Amino acid sequence: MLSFFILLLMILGSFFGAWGMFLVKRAAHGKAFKEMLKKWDLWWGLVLTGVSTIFYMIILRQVELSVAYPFAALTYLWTTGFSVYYLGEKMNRWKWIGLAGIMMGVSLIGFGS
Amino acid sequence: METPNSSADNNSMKTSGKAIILAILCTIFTSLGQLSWKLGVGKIEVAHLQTLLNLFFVLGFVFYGLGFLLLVRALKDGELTVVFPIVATSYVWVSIASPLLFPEDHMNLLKWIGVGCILFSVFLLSRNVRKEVMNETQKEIKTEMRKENTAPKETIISEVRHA
Repeated sequence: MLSFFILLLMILGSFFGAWGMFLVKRAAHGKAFKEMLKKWDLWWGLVLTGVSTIFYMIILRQVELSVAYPFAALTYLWTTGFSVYYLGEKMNRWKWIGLAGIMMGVSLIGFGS
Repeated sequence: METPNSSADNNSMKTSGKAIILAILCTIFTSLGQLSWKLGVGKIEVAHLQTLLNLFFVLGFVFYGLGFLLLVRALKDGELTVVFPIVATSYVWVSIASPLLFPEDHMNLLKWIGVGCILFSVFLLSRNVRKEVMNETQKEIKTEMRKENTAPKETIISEVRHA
């Protein structure tokens, strides 16, 4: 049975994963490696990625992959939102189709597991 | 004459082909990391914490760390909207390799369709990059030509900045 707690954890897990990636991207953007290590964004990004990973470890003890993977696929949607809204990246038809295909592919692998 | 470098401009940066290759390479390492963890987790006993240091579990962290470094390098000159979805290729490797390592795991039609979906999407995303690079080059050539012909210097530079 899908509890409210697990549902919340899955949504937050995907959101934190995306937020972490966004921060890592902001730290890495156009910078040399040494310069990047001085950025707080990188370390907060790592922390959020870690938190999201721990969430998924808890989630996978409670629910099947067929439930967890479609929620994990939401990470790609949030990440695209962050990229467009805060980084000014441009979307086009092919990127939207690619994004939808990835989310569907990840979900299908979950359904088949 | 000053030539504004579009790739140095923060927001209009496009994804390089190298970033795509690094992202795919990253997925090989993260997949190896996940498989090692799965192999290592079985060896852990809560009563004996030193079992946390078993070879596969530690190797999992090493692979994951290497994968993360490659991802960070890919994000240096790759758009997040292109690089991050490509990282989903790790689902493909893990799905295919898992049944070979863990006998209880099987491939089936749904999983194969999922794998196909991801591979096709990765193809679309990387193809999109090649097209953008081509458009960018064409735009640069056009601006160069205009620069040499008619428009005054100031207009071109502001045009490129707003492009």
